[in-house]
Amino acid sequence: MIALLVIAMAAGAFTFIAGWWGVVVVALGAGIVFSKDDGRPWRVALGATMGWVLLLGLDAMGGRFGRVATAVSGSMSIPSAALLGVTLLLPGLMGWSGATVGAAIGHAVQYRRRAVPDVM
Amino acid sequence: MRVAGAFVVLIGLLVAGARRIGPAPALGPFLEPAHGVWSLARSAELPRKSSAAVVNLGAAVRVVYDERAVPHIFATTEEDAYRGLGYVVARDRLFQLYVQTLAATGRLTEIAGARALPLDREMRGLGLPRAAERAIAAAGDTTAFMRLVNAYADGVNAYVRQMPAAELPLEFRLTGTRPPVWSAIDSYHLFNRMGYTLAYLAVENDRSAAASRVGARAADALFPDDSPIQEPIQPNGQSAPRMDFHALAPPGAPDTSASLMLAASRVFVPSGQHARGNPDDPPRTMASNNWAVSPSRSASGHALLAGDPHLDLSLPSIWYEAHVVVPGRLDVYGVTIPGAPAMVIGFNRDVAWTFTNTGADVVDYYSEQVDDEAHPTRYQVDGAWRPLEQRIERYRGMHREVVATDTMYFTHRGPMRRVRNRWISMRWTVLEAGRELSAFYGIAHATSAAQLESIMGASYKAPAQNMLAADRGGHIAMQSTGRFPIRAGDGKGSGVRDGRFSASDWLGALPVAQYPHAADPGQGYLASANQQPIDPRVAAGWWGGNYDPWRAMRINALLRADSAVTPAAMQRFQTDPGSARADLFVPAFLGVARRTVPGVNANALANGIRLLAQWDRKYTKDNRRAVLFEEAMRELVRRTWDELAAEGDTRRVATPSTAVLAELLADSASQWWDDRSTPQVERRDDILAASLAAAYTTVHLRSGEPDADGWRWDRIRFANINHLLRLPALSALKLPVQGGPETLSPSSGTGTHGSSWRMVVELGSEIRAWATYPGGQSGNPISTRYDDRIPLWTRGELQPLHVPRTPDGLTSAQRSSELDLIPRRP
Repeated sequence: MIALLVIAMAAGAFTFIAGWWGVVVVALGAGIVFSKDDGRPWRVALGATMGWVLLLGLDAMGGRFGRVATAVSGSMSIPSAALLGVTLLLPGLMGWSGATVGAAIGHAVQYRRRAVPDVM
Repeated sequence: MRVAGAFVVLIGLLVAGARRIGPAPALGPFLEPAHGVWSLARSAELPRKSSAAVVNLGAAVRVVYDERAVPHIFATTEEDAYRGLGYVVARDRLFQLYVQTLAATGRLTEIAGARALPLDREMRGLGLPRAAERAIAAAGDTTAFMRLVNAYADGVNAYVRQMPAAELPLEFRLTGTRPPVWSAIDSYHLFNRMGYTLAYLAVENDRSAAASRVGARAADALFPDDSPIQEPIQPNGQSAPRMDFHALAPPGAPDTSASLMLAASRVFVPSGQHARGNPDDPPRTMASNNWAVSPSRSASGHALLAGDPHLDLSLPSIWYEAHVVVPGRLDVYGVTIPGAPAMVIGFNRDVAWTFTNTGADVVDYYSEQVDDEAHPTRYQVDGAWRPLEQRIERYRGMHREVVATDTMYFTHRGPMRRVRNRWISMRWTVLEAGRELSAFYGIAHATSAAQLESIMGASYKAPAQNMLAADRGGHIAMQSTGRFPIRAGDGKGSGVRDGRFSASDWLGALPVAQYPHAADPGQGYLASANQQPIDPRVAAGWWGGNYDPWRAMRINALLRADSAVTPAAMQRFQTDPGSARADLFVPAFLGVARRTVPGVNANALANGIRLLAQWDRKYTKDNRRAVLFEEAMRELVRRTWDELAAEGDTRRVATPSTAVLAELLADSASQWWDDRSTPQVERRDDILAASLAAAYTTVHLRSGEPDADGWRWDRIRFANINHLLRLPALSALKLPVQGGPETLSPSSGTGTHGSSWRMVVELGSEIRAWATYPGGQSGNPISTRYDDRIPLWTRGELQPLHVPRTPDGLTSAQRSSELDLIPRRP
């Protein structure tokens, strides 16, 4: 649970600092950290999504969240729910794929470490 | 396998997230909630308090927004005040600034791709961008006024540079563009665009088109210079409209000698402001009303002024409302066009002003002799060759790629284009203007109506306008303003002139002293609604005004009937549902249609007569009879002017005004009444009866029983206010409004034109004013200020305006936001 919250906070913070691909950075990092557990990709996906939900919550405090949804989705000729769904799907997919790839990177690094003989 | 799949998904997301796919924006930055589109919810409204540093600012500028979101800008110098104006306009209307400039400079392809190429080619082919470049070069950079134009640009750019990512307007995100640097020349482009909208009206196009069907003599009668109903702007001493009705020349043999000019017009302006004639075309509504009342006829004993330009309705509105104060130097309130450092319509502490379009003929065409038909480099004037100016125009697409390249040619007259295997050049006052912004800057300082006229007369060239002013001294005045060319020969611009001779050129401009003018008339009021400015019996010369006279007749009737006019009455008049057009045509239908006509459904005719007689001739929203009258008028126009349609086609090449149709009513046996599709010869009464019967049948079939809601006027006619990108989700559509074709608040056709700024000013010891426009101060579709005035506008209500002399002149309850602009050294 704590790991989930940390990922969520990190995803939110990195998005705020670096933009949308901040989620990828967090997911890759989490994948490497949790590489022994194959990156816990679903947990990272959920955490990343929660990070964006957190930010969306901050946006919603402005009071015009519904208007954004209707104006933007209407401009793109898609339902508001679809716009929100894609918005939440995006960090989830980035979280899952990033964590999976991150775990693979972690495994590779550990494998290389084990494969290098101790010259000392 | 799982890792490979995840890798593919990740790469796919990174690529798809970062790039536009078709018209869709790059999803990553678009959707992310910290700076993407969702963050607009945080920045939708202006903060209660904020500050910003602005380069080149001499001293602090305080901006207080009132509860209507109108900024009141208080500065110590005029340059700083205009920096402040540029800043607040950019803050509220950034995308509008951008897209208007693209439209005016022929660069819409940069956001819309090649599909916008025809529009861009039209702008550049007319030479509008070139004209702006020449105007600003002529203005220099050191004059006091140009310093203000540059200061305005400073203000716009200061906002753009420090704009938080979350405030980037939605439209930029949707189109994947960024706001560019604003330049002083962009303000000139904008005014040229206004000229394009208002000053490319050539009545001779309709006349030429009609001549191609019914001959020149008949065409002259159908599209006369002088209106058959005279209710001029400059009072002619009469207390009622004068009907100058004559028998119309009958249809004759087709005459195509004037068709070259029509072809030229279609080459230069293919978007076709001249190409009316479709049976369902709406009456012209790009018109305006204004009127002023002398103290002798106002209840308060103060002069009153009302202004109401009818223009394209858009979201955000064409207008932005603001108040600029520099103590001791400037105190002006009004509406500015975003991008223009000037109050176009408004008032200061002493005088108020407004405009209607004159509709003067300020465009001429010349057939040029060139040295090489395929690749001309020179053209001949008086036997000598002159070099042609060439200009390469490149149109860029959404990714900066070149989508087309044109070579443009210019003679000393203006742009030259290929028309029917000839080279035709065009001269147009709009292309020779350039001091209009300076004129508006000047009138902001005027202290009387007379001074205001003098300033405009000295500087203003295009588009020609009827300027109305009222001042605190109790004076009211009207003057046409603009440049009116003097032509050789018959003085008319009704044919293509021979460009080989300098004698064909304009001989100069008419002196301002000859312009239509009136001041403090004995009748106690002045009114203009685009009608002919001067009664031809009073003075020769044609100044424009080929609009129908119905609005002018109505406002004159209302003002004649009220000897103690109040501001409330002025506001009520602006949306008055009465119609002089209906007052003339309804009796015609009722008076002559009470009989049996062969081939006409007697039952439908009887019902039509019964229902039309019930009509109060008002276009109120719940009215259930106006729809019948409009359908009858449509039928009447179609059946009467069938000679103007090509064989086998229902489309007319041009449609005479309803004033000419009214003139025709006086001649019951005219050949024009005959319906060519029937073997018998019809007369006026036959056509009136057939039109009304057909109208009843049509409306009954379409809308049900006569007292059903389907007959309500607001089920038939709406105002439609489109977003600049025509996105329905960001538009306000199908708005029920009071008014119909040719009422004072006209509603017709597509509903996309109408009252764009209703203003009433009382010029007492302290100015009092009321106004509104269809839209809101913010250009941000997420903001509550985007369209908050539309309900008021549809109800025809105006809001009182605050005109504080100092920032403290607004109470805290009257303030919605405050902004401090502070100097920042570069």
